[in-house]
Amino acid sequence: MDRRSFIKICSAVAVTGTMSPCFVQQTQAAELIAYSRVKLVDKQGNAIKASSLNGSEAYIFHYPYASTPCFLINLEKPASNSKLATSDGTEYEWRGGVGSNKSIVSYNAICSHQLAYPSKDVSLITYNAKQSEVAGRAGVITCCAHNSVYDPAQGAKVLSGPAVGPLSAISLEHDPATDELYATGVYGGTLFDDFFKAYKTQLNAELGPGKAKELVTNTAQVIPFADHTQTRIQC
Amino acid sequence: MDQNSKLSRRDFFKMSGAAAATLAVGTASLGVTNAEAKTMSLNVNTKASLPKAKGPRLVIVGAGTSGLTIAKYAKKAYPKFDVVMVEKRDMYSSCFSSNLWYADLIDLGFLANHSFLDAAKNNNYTFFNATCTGLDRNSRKLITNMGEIDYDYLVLAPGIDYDYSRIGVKDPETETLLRTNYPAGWTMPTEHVTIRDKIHGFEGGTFIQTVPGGNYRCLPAPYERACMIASYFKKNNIKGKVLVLDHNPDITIKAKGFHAAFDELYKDYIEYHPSAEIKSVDLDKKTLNTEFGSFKFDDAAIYPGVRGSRLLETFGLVDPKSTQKEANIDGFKYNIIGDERVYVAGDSRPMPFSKSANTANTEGKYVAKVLAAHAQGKTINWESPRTICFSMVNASPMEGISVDAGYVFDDKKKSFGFSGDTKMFENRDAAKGRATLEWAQGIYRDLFA
Repeated sequence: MDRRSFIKICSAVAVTGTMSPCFVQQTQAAELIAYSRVKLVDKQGNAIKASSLNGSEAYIFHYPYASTPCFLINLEKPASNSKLATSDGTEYEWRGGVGSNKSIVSYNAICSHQLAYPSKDVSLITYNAKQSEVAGRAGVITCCAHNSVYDPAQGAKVLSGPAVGPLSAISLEHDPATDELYATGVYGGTLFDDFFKAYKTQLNAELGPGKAKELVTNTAQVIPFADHTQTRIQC
Repeated sequence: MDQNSKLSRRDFFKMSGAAAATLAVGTASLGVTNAEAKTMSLNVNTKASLPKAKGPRLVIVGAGTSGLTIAKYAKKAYPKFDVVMVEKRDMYSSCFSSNLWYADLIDLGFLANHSFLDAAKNNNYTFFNATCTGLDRNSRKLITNMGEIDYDYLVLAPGIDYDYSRIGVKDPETETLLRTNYPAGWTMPTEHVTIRDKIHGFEGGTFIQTVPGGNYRCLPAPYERACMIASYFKKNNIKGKVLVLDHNPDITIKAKGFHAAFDELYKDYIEYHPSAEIKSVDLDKKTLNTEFGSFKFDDAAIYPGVRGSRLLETFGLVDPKSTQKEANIDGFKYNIIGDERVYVAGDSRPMPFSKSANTANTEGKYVAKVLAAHAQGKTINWESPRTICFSMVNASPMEGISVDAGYVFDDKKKSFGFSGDTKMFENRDAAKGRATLEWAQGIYRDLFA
């Protein structure tokens, strides 16, 4: 087999949404894990336009699994790439915001401390466009279970509180021609195994048996946070 | 009976009856006597029936918040550990959040739907249901009612016991009555059941909730409980009053938030008496006597002083200078003085940290790292536990207050105090009320999933 064919195979595997350590041995969690390339759409199924995203609250979509929630946030200012470390010290580079203003960012909405996440009923982990009491500033993600504060403009790194690692980053692609957005993978470590274990019963009840671990393909529906979660706990 | 004739059914039964009668008095006639009865117990050197240790064996006694945290995180930090959790209870039910059950904000399943077996299975350690009866630190053997367990490292996280002598009760008769009829509700789940029944069946009058002196388990809990009881009385039109008799000169934590709730929500339902140290108890007259007056009650939850678990005394591990009979350990490394194979963590610690779930959970993660490091010939820097604690002050609607505290060691005073970044969030609101539940669920997930 020549190198060209090998690369083709790896890419094909990546697109079908399975884990694909192509050239580099997947060391730790920090490396990008490529999942399906999924277009972000609205409730009607139409592609979301990056420039239409409101900065006053976060949006939610589920990726790479049907049950794993993600924040989609328009920071309304550019966010450049930065160096971060996962909870076990593995270094990685956060790629910065996307979109014409480099202000659109996305992270798994699962707290790295004790896995709080936005269910339909309630969420302790939220984005605060306005001032947060616990953080003493605006524009942060807070988890009110134990007061962890993350900075979405710096790869969701931990600013304060007991969380030991940043939120997992969703790699986003922006098409400047159409202004459409795609999610293509996750990097900076993942907590999916722990998440599925911790919420097995709850996710079965919310989504139906076995649905929690279904991989998302083609499109992912993006909705405003307030439409997704009934009770938002902010601190 | 004619043995040679054919047996009729009636004859057969007659025979069986006679035989049975013989058997009933048979043993004596067979020559076995109990004349030489002696004390029977498990033979010394009977080993507990456990799988063979696959690495250095870390034995943990006590599957409460501290023990469960250490079991999971020590294994994670050093997978070579063969971790065995020894717990005497056969069912888990948490003390933390139990106050919320009194006002029906949660059900018993919230507290108890957590399996020791799942915790062990999910986190790669062995669960062993047994009660400890002895300890041989020379041979590194833990002795239980189910046999002996050899250890390389031992962590005791046995929690607290009540000390009734601190409310002037020294006779077993009165102590037994207090434990049974007026349980405190800070150790066994069965006490929670009793207390809830008292509240829900209360027909009116005075309900006393006492607050002990010293470093008692869960500083805000007696005040939170008063709020939950008052809330229940208010909601159900029960003409009851909660008399809070507090040994301390003021509410010991989140004072502003609790006073606000007492004054604004429960003016007719809670009466707060500080500096009310209980000197004696008269259960016939249903009266508690303090230096400044006697208080009669119709029912009560009497919380006496708190001390280290009696297991520490049995094992000879109590610090003779400790006023609460707590463990003789290094305040930073948690090992028994002079023995780096035996550790004590959780509420039996002598350090003045809050005796609470978040403290034990964060402390446990550090102790796990201490053990992992020691097993590999290393040491690590001290890390302060963190006390993040929510208290529900209103049940309808649910509103809470919270504290987020750390600890530092003052080299000059040679004592621990709160860290500079300690914060209290005392404006009660619905967000903190909801967070009170989610905080607990985070801990259950951390311990059991």
